[in-house]
Formats: sequence, structure tokens, C-alpha cells
Amino acid sequence: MNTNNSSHSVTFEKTRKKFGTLVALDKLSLQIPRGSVYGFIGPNGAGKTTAMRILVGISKPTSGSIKVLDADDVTDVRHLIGYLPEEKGLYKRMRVVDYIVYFGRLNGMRKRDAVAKAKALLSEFQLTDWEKEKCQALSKGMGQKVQLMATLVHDPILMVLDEPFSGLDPVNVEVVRSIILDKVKENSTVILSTHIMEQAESLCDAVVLINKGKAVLEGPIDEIRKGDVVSVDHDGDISVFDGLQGVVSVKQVGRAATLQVDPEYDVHTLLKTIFERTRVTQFNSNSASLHEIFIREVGGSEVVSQTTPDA
Amino acid sequence: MLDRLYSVWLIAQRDWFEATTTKMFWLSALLMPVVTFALAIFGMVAATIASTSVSVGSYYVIDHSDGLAQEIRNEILRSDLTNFMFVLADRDPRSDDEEILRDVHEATQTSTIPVLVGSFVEHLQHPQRDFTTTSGDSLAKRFSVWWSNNKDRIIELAPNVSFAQYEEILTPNLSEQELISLLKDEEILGYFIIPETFVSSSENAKFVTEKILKQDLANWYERFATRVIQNKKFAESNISRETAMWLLQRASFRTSRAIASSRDSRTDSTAGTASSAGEETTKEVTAWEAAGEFAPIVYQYILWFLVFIGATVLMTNTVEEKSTKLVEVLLSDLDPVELMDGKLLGSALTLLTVVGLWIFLISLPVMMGSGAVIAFLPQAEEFLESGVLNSIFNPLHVINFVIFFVLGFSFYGYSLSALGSVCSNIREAQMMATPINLIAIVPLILMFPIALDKTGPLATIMSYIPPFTPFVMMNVVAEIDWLNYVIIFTWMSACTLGVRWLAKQVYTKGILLENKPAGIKGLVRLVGGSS
Repeated sequence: MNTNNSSHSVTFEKTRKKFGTLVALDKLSLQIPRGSVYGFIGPNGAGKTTAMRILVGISKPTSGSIKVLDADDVTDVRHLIGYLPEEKGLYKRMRVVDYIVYFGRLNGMRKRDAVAKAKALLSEFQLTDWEKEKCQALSKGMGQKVQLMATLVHDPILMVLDEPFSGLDPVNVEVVRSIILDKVKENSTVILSTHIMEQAESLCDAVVLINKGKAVLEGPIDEIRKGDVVSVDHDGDISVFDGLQGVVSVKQVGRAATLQVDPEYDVHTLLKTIFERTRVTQFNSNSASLHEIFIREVGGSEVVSQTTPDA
Repeated sequence: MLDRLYSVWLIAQRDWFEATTTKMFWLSALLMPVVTFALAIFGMVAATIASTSVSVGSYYVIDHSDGLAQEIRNEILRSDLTNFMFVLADRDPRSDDEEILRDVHEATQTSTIPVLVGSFVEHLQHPQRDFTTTSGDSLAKRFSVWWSNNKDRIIELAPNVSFAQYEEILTPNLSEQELISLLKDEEILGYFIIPETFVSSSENAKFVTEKILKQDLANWYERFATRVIQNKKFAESNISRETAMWLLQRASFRTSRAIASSRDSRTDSTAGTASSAGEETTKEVTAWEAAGEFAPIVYQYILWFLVFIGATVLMTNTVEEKSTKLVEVLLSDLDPVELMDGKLLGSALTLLTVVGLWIFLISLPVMMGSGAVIAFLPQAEEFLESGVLNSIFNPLHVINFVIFFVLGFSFYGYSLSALGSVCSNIREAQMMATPINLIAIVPLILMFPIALDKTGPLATIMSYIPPFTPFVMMNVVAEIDWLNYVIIFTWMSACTLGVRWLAKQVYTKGILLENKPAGIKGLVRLVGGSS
């Protein structure tokens, strides 16, 4: 089923999307490795959904290009992609199994195969008892699982999931996580967007942090988290840290200061200098969490609110 | 290409299945023919009941003339007797008939009806007079007694006699105040005032009633009054009534239609020999056949109804799928135009299913066999044998209906789908669709003027304006020449493809818009691709 030979499932090349005067995506360039879980993170209206829509062929870039599964035109490989949008709707009067089969057939499956796969998925998601019920009878969580099944039914090798965990209870979050990990084991690529940094951190191999349509940070999680955060409780004020080498940023609340340290710089040398400048009562050194990185990169920026297709 | 068609078919199939498996679909699909049937049966039954059990309305006559009211009464009696005699003459006597009826029937076979009527009128008007005792007088005397005492039996045999419907109150000298009081109490339908100079002028003659729109009594009485006055005037001029009626006879042409002649008769005709050889070349048009001429209008109305119901449902579905984000999932698997085509096809199939059901239900009585229908509802015989069904199911109308349904529904379906795609909710979509709906009402308003002049300038111009073409063509198809038909069909097809292209531009961009205010400028910008 896997037809692409490149090591990258998706390549954005200076991809730009404008809606009127608003630049929703600004020359995004990135490569998404095959067989990985890749996260799109960023504040609301950053351009994540626009990027995803371009990726699945719903929207066309204004300029630049995108290559998906080695195809220059996404529509050629649509049947290899599974897309789960952020807001999830169902045909309320359709039976659950028919709904899943319908999307399988739209992706080129024969009816018999689609029915068999739909039933297997329903069993896997523990919804076999609901197979013949109408979608309107499902709870929100169940509805999302059915949506996910419709995304998976044709065995896509590239899955694009926009906020797949929103609205799910912890049990179902685990179900979806395990599905994603299973797909990756099969060498499929999963691209997801999420607001929950802990999830991105624990699930994604790599992420791109998008803000105001631009890629602010991009790379493997380990690379992004490289660099320490030093917490220092001391008797002095923030000026103590002026001109310190290796410090990227400093925040101080009361007597507690948080220092973002350049990954290339030695933390021990830094601490020695701080001890020389002030009386330290407590200190702690950790790797930066994705959440902290997100706040650091986006925190001061204005959250964009827009009325264009990008959510 | 096949993959695309398959996707379109899957979308259409799903939409069709979902639409046709709801109770509401079956209710609305069956409602129309059931209501039509119910109304038809009700109408026929009501007409039968009305003809057999008419309540008798009373009236009074104030006569200021020299006995004209009595003469009118005599004329009514004469008319009733004549009517009754004709019924008896045409009817075979039965064993349970009264003896007098058998005798009168026998008399009608040996004597003329006017003579018998004259004799009976004499006896009825002067029951006490001592007539010479001929056998005819004896019969007239017996009959006059029977006539006076067997009103119900007379009505049973001859339902058209006047006293089945109207009865004159003969109480003498009722004042107008009393009559008005009777009118208010609905005891009488009305009263007539015959002026003194009624023969020379009917200027002061009056019919007083509370039900001014119910003129049947006045018309009926006026007919007999006219005949009495005419008879007086004919007598004064020494002209017999028969002569006068012959002089006054109006010329009339009965509407007929030509029957296609056979090849032989055409050959004969060319040769100038006995061309028709007794073969009928024309056939008189019945009222049902004339009604059948309105079949295109019925088709036009049904087409309009289906196109707008269907296109509006399509628009609503588009808005719904957009608001639930289902469309986003679909568009990751399909091109927007495939989605649009599929949804349009699904709706068209749903509407054609409705039409198929209607045709099936309407044809059911015919398929059951007209004999069975007539046995159940004798009043339907005239309808079934009139050929009006042939007019309704004329292949020309049916094929034309399918062609222009496809074009018309596509034209309006694509337009309203595109509008729906740029709207965030149903209300907004309905507002946007208002101009289109207003345009679409025009052919409905002009339906009858066009039907009356199918080749006139109005019909010709309207048939070339795409939003009106499908509906106008339903109306004028029987009159239009084939070259014109092909030109209009080609033009409409091109315009429909143009609308599809425009709709695609709007739909592709509009379907992903969120909260963007929809407006004409916005639409133009979308088509122009500036968004």
C-alpha cells in the first residue's frame, strides 16, 4: 500500500496561504519524516488548520508548494490519507457501521472489504453493540471514535488529525493514543495538532510550533527541549542576572527567578557566577518542557483572532 | 474519470437513501396523490349526492300584473310534464310500476308528447271541470290525480322536475314585511315581484334574496317568465312560437379536432376521388379532452414545485453539512465539484422517486383495469374513457418534462448550493436565496398568458431566458418547431454548464469560510478568486 519511497511523507516548501489581506500561512517550510508522529502546535489561529487543510488538499496554497507522499498534487494520493477535522460532525440519521463503510467506499474500498474493516474497528474501539444504531444516538466521545474509525477504515498511510483528543475522556484518550502508536509501528505517518503540550511531548517524535503563520520552532522533541531551565531563589533583584553569559531569558517573581539557559552553555559555570553575585537560598536545574517552550515562544505574542477558514 | 463518477454516485446514493427512508418523505410523497384522489372521489360523490338529494328551496311571487304568475306556473308545469313524459317514453315499464305509469307509457307510444302534455295540463289546471269521457280524458284524469299525490315518485323517476329543487309558496297575499321576515329566517330562498307592466318592460321586476351570489333560482324562474312573455308577444304579432323560435335560432360551431387520415384516403384525396368515403375526419372535442389541453400547465406547475423544493433542500443540506464540518471530511476525499454533482444527483433522484410514485399511484386505477374502477366509482367512466389520461401521459410531455427537469433542477440546484456554501446558517441562506426565488416566481405568474398564446412574443422571449426556460418549455412544447427546440435546449444546456462553473468557483472557496458575511460583493470576489 505504501507507495512513497522518500524518507519524508510531507514536504512544505515556502508554502504561503492568504485570505484577502490576512496571511494565514507564511512561507512554511518543513519536512515530516515517514513513520513518525508529528505535532503541529501553536496558539489558536496560528495557521495549524490551514496547514493541515493544504496538506489534505481541501485548500490550495497561494504560493509555494507541498509534496505529499511524493506526489506534487495531493488529490493523486487522497485515498492514502485519512483526515480527522477539528470539529467533528456525523450524518445523524446514518447507522454507525454504514457511516464508516461510506467513507471507506469513498476512498475506493469495495463494499465487502469496507464492511469487514468497519466491523473490526468497531470491535477494536469496543463499539460493536452500537454498530446498527444511528449516529444521533451516540455520545460525543463515541461520535469522535466513530469519526476516527471513518478516518482509519481505508488503512491510510498518512493520517492527519486535527485536535484528535479534544472532548475525549482519559480512557478514550488512551485508546486513540494506542491507535496512533500502532499506526506508526506499521510505518504510517501521523500528523496531529494539539493544545495539550504534555500529549505532544509524550506522543510526538517531532513538532513544529506555528505562530502567526510562521514556523517558530521545528524539529525532534529532544532537540527542541535541549537546554536547561534553572530556577533560583535568592536575596537580590533581577539585575543580578544582567550580562550573564549563556542566559537566554530571565523572569523573576518575588525572590524566585527562572532562567532559560542556552543549550550550548555549561550550567555549572553559570551557577558558579550566580553564587558570586548573590546569596542563593535554593536552586534547581531541569530540561525545558514543551509547555515552557510554548509559553516562552508564544506567551508574549498576541493571539490572533480571525474570521477566515483557519481555526 | 470512472473513479470520479463512482464517487459522485456514492454521494448521490447516500443522499437518496437517507432522504427516501424517512417517514416525512413518504408522507409528503403520498400526500399529493392521496389528497388529489380523495378530492376527486369526494367531488364525484358530492355531485351524485347533490343530484339525488337536493334540498328544496322555497320562493314566493308577488304578482302586480294581470295573472302572469299563474301563466308562469303553468309553463313550469308544462315543462315538468314534458320532462316526465320523455322519461316515461324512453323507459321500459316494470312489473312493479303503477298501472297509470304503464298506461301513460303506452300512450306515449301512440300519441305525441305535446298532445298528452296539453291534455294533462288541462286536467291539472281544472281538476273539477267535467271533461267529455273519452278514453284519453279518462287517462288524463287518472294521471292528474296520480301526479298531484306522488311527488316523491315523480322525482325518483325524473330528478330534473322543478319541484325537486324549488317550491312556490302559494299562500295568498303575503306582505313584503312578512316575506323579509321569512328571508331572514331562511325559510325562503327569495321572492319575485312581477310589476304591472312586466310584458312591456321588466324594468321594475325584482328578485329579493339574502344570498345574492346564489342566482340559480332567479335564472330558472327568469327562463319561464321570458318564455311566457315571448309567447304573449308572439301571439300579439300573430307568429307561432315554433316560427319565432326558428327565426331566433342561433348559429353555432361545435369545437372539433381533425383525425389523422389514413394513407388510402390521402391517396384518394390527391386523386380527387371519393376522398373520405364516409370516414370521419373530425371528432368533436369533449369537455374532458379540453381539460386535457391543460396538461402542460400541470406539468409546468409540478416542475416548478419540484425544482424549488429540491433546490431549497439542497441549499439547506449544504449549509447543514458545512456547519457540522462534515463537508471538511468529504472534501478531503473528493473534489468540491464531485461533491456538488453527487448531492445534486441525489436530490434529483429523490425528486424523480416522488414523481415516479405519483405516476404509479395515479396510473394504479388504470392498471387495475378501468372496469374495476367504474364498478367502484361509476362517475369515473366518463373520465377514463375521455382520453384525458392520454393527454396527461403524452410521451412528448413526459420526455420534455424529464429533459427540462434535469436542466432546470441543475440550474437552480447549482445556484442555491453555491449560495448555501457561503452561508453560516439556514436563515442567512434563505435571505441570500430571496432574489432567486423572486425571479423564479415570474414564470409561474405568466403561466396562463403563455398557455393562451404559446407561439406569441411573450412565450418566445421567455423561452430564451435561462431561469424561465424550463418552465416555459413545458408549456409551449407542443407548439414549438424542432429547430427552435434544439436551439433552446442547447442554449439552456450551455447556460447550465456556465452556472455549474460559477457555482464551483463559489462553492470551492465558500464552503470553507467561517463567519464570513455573505453578500453579493463577497460572491463576486469569490468567483474572481481574490479571497
